[in-house]
Amino acid sequence: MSGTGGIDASIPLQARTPTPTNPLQTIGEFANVQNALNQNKLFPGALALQGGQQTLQGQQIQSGQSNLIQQQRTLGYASLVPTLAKKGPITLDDLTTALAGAEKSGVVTQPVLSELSSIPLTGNPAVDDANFRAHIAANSQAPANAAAQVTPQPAGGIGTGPDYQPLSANPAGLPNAGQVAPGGAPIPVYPSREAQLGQVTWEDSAGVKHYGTQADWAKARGQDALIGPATPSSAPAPSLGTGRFPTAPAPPTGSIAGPSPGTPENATASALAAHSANQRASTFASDMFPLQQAQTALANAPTGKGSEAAHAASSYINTFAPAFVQKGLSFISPIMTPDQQAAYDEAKKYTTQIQLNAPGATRSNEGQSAAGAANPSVEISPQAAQLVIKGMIGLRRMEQDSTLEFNKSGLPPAAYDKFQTQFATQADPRAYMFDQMNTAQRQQTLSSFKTTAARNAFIQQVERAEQNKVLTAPGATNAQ
Amino acid sequence: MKNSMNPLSSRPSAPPEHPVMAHAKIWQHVNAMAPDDAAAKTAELTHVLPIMGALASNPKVTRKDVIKAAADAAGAGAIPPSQAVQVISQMPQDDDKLQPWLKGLYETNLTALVHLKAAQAQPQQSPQPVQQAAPVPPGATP
Repeated sequence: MSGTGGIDASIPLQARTPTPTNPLQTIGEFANVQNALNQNKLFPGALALQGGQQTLQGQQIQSGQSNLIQQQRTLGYASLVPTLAKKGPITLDDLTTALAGAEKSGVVTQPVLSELSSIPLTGNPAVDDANFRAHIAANSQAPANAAAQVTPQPAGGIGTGPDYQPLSANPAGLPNAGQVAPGGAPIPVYPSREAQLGQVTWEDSAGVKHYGTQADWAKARGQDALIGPATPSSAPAPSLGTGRFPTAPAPPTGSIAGPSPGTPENATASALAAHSANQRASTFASDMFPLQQAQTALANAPTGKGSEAAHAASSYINTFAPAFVQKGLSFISPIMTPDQQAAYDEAKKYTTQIQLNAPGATRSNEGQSAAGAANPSVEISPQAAQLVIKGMIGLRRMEQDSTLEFNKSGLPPAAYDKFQTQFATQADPRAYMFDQMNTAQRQQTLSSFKTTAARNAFIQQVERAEQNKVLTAPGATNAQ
Repeated sequence: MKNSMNPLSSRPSAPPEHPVMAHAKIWQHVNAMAPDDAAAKTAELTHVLPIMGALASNPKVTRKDVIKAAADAAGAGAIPPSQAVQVISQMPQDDDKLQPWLKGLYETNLTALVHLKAAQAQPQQSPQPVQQAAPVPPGATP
């Protein structure tokens, strides 16, 4: 068997016409023109009326043909839909076999074959399979459904702790059908009210450090949660009326430290903690301001036991007495100079702010009393207050540095707990007070290390804190 | 009405053949083939069609590519050597017309393969109506 087209010489090659013509229309137009000419000859006025009727007839023929072609096309693609269920790659042999079956049933397969022949063949079975599937899926149904077959569809989502990740699934018309992948940017989940309170650290009676929200801290002390529905507390109320510091809480039971490592709950809790840490890190500057201002004020303010009375008297005298009286009295008595009075006022203001920021300080009078006793104030000597403030500054800086280091590490939020444990174990709080030490204090600190490796590690920690801008760089020290 | 390719001709040119007409002609030809010839042609086209389609899809296809593919198919025994020579001799000389020629060849042979498979498919038998036994009149012995 030979000939043009590879089959028979009598069969011409099929010309690729972009717009198929309707042979019936050609015949009809010819007849209509003849009729029109005849009519014009015989009945000149009827030509216009006949023109409208012929146009309508032509449209009906045209629409009928196009409907018929569309029906055959739909039936042809419907016969190809079962090939989508094939597990392996769809081949040309599969398509021709399916269309042969449709043709045996009386379907005219020409519209489908004309479109299938336009699908490029690459010789790569996987690529050809993808092209066949996409073409069949797109043409075998309504446009909206066809688009849904070749575009990833929403498939719910999963919570990742601080975010909700939407998912999408590949439909049957795409390669890797059924594959689920992230579908869009993660949606931040609004943190709980407890998480918004920020993370705090505390030590229990055994000296074990704990990390958690203020609600966790309150629960560890046997108190109700700061917010949320009231729950009866089974632990006895701490004795705060004796003027002593409240007794340290017993090591907390249950899941204060969080679920077991490696579980999804632990990962979620860790991610929440990382989120809270970053929120607290954003307030570093505002947290440090009252500490630094109090530190400066305490350098000039004559604080201590009984200073309140001297301050009251000084305020009265400095308000009403002449200047020479003020100078004389301040020289020979505890009366404060105006500068000292101002420094005292400022110190009192900022130390009060520090006390109010302590956990539980604003909850009750006892809480405020405890916060006042546990934080620097104008009731203690300036040297003691300075030492306490230095320690508070150092701890806050260490917390900030740990958050910055975690963010730089690139670790996922689920690894935050583990990172913090390791950081806290290796960090030396003195590194974060190094800039506030004088030369002798620094020498003493460096001499306290028994090995060179330990000293070098301490110095590296100081340098890292300076690079993170948590610590004041050398030359700008405000050491006492 | 004579066909005329001259657009300035006073005689109207015949409209191009409707694609369905070509489709029907191929169907007529295939159904006139002997069963043995149809089976051999089916096997031939099954092997050759993917190669032909790949050539037709390549915008940079050359005459050398077509000659090599025809020679390889003849060498593998998929098509008779004489047919390979005929295909090569029918190639257009102009490279710009080579791909459209290949596309037409591919579509025609694709249509032929579908017709061949349909012609060789077993006819679907309609279900035979179940013959019910004649009703036995009352009192009669079965």
